[in-house]
Amino acid sequence: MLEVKNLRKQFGGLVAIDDLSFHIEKGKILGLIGPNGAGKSTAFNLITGFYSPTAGKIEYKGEDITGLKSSQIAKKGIVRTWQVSGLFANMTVVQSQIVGCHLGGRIGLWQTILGNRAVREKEEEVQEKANKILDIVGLAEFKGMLSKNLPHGLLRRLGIAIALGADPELMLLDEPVSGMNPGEIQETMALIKGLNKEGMTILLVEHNMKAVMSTCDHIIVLHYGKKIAEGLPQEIAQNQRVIQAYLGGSAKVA
Amino acid sequence: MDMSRSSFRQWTWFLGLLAILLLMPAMVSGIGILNIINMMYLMIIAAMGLNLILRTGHANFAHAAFLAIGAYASAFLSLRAGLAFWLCLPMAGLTGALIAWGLGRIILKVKGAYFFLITVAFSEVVRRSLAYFSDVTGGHQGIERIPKPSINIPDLATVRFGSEMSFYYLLLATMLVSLVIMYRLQRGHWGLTWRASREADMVAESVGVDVLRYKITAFVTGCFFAAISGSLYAHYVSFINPDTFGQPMMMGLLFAVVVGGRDYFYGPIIGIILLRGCSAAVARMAEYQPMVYGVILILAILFFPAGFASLPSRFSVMWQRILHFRRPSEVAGS
Amino acid sequence: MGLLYAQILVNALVLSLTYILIALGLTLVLSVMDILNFAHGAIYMLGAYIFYTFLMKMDFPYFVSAILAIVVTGFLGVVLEKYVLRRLGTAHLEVLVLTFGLGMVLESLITVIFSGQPLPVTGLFSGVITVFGVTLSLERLSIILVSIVLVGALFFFVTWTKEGRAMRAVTQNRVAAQLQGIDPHRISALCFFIACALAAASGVLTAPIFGIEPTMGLTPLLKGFCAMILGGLGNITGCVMGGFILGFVVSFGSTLIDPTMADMIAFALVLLILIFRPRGIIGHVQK
Repeated sequence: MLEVKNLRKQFGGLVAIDDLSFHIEKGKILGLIGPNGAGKSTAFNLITGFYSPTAGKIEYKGEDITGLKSSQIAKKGIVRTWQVSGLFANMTVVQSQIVGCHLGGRIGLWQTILGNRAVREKEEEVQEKANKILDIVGLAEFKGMLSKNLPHGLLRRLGIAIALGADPELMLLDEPVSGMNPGEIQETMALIKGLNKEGMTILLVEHNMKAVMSTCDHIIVLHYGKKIAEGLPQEIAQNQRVIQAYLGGSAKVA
Repeated sequence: MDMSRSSFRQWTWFLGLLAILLLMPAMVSGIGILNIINMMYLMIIAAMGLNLILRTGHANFAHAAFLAIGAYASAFLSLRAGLAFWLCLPMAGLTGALIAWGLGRIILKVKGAYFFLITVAFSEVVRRSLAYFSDVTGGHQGIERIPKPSINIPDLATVRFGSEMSFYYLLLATMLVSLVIMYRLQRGHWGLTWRASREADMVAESVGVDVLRYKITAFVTGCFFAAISGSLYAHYVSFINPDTFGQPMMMGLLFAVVVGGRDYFYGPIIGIILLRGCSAAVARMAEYQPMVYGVILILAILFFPAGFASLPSRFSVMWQRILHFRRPSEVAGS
Repeated sequence: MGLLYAQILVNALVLSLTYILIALGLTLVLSVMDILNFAHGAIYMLGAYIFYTFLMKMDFPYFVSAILAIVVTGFLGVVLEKYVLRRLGTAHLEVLVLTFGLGMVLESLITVIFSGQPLPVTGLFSGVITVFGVTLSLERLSIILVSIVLVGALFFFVTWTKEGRAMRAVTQNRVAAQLQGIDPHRISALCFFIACALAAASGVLTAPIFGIEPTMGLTPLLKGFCAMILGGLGNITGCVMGGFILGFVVSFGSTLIDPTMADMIAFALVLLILIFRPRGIIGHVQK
């Protein structure tokens, strides 16, 4: 579904991503792991259009999406979540969700000014959709709460909910369970698996190995911007290069 | 139509307010006060336009420059091209909108201090150009005797808007229409998306919001209303020059928006009323006027950073607390 | 012909250095405190008036008046920072409008106390000096020299002293600097002191040539913003270059073409540069 070919990203003299190639199959969950600074966030930003690559191509469903604007990529069906817990801090949960449903709820400028019945119907439609997603994600009771007052774990879930509003086919989840307690992690991973069962293709970046191993169908490991391993979770867990990368290479695995 | 109780109350408030506004000229004691109110209406349109732009996260220091653009465009169209006011007004607005579109497409890509300073530079260029190219613009002498609006009903009558009272209704009508338009925009999809663009533009972008396009629309709309306001000014006062729309006016608009309350729809309205009230109150001590004005500004920002418009909600919060304190047994569930 | 160009050159240098001293203050405050100080022009004016009071009204000797003016203005700035600006944090637009209000209050205050008329200030040097057959005003030359010394001192301070480095640390990352034991409040106060002192110095230097009046700070403020923009916000080297470019454009433009036109060209130049190269001529990676 998503094909990344020879992707390269340079910031001045620093090479963040070097000759990265991989693909994501439709309906699967792909995990992207690697030690800090390996280039995972950069890869994310490249795929979703927040950075433009120095070289290489990104293809989605056969179409070249390299260098497209982020909002255009979202329209194509690729949506990401965010690591920073900012989101729409001073807006309520339901307001944030409505923004997430932007693509389905756009109303023309003149229409809004003239304000006919179609406008009201569209707004109700969006409101319903927003409520539905909040229900699915389990945030319905927090509808009226300001985002900045949400506890950390729920804030992450709001991020997923907002992304869902755009009706994505491919979701890129940026460390969805970081900073969560085991209970929250389980709930969130269950949610993610549930979404996948409904047909959502997922690219997951996460540090929590247990979550990654138990959820992903396929894993890619990055190190210093290069892909050093790829395969099934069991294979990756035993891959010497991967273990060395995480331990820094000098320590011996007892 | 099913009218709930609160909706009915809202309608009565609204109609009552409308009645007061319509009868204002009769209630007011002198032409002088009517003049002040007229200027207020005019400036409210401009200030509301400014707030529209501000709420997308961009501090537009060029707003007064767009008033100037609208005013001069309208003056030219009516004096040189002989067009009627009723055409000049929308065309002036369109001129402002067009220039705003051209400018905004480029500068709205940057934010914060950069954007602000670009608009400062733009406003200086506009102002100085108006002063420099005096053959065309009348330079520092400005343009005078800009015709007042008139309606020509053939074979029947010509209604000329010459008096304060006639202008009152013209300005009131224009202001109300502008407010309705802006309210509709802010209340729905556009207002929410604008707000999201200001809060976290990258998150918005990642769910498909074309943030730049939305910001441009806000900028163009805000500047459109500035130009409209400028055009109205030109035909109301009938005299404009480059200094009319300079720093003092820009700062007055910012004052109104900041002190009135940026996060409230009617904030700028309150700000303008305060502003005009201030200058009217110290009108006699012209020397001290900037000082009083400045001190009030400083105090207002220090002690009411959310603006005066936030006072009602703060009062109600305080009031709730008082109520809770006095009758704890009647408070449910706490 | 050489005489004309030499004089324009000198004037350009004087103008540039005036803008630079003001722009440096603006840049420092913007980088360290993230504040756009619209009162800076008024502070420049205040410095000049305090100088005037000491020199002309109280008959203090020249250097004493100058130093006092600079120091007093600096301290007033610190008071301002501590009791007013600090309360607002970096609520950008509010601070901006507030500093504008402050500027208005100062201007109005001075007008009430001193009247709105321009006042003359007697300079230290009168007379001329002839260099390479060209006659130049001693006054202007001394301004150039002192300004260069001040700019140099600032560079030295920022680059080599402990406080200067602390300032740079705060510019880059306020929180990290705090973790390293730097007190951001103290640095802000110091920064504001320096900025106000520089502005006052500029006012003191130019007072004898141009006289003083309450509105003298308006144009320098705008030009200071322009210089800052040209050099890239937050970049003091850029600031200096921006100041020179602006000063030369305005100076040569004023003499060779037309003063109003020169101003317009200057702002148009700034606008174009901002549009096509928002990071300024030098360019600076914003934090």
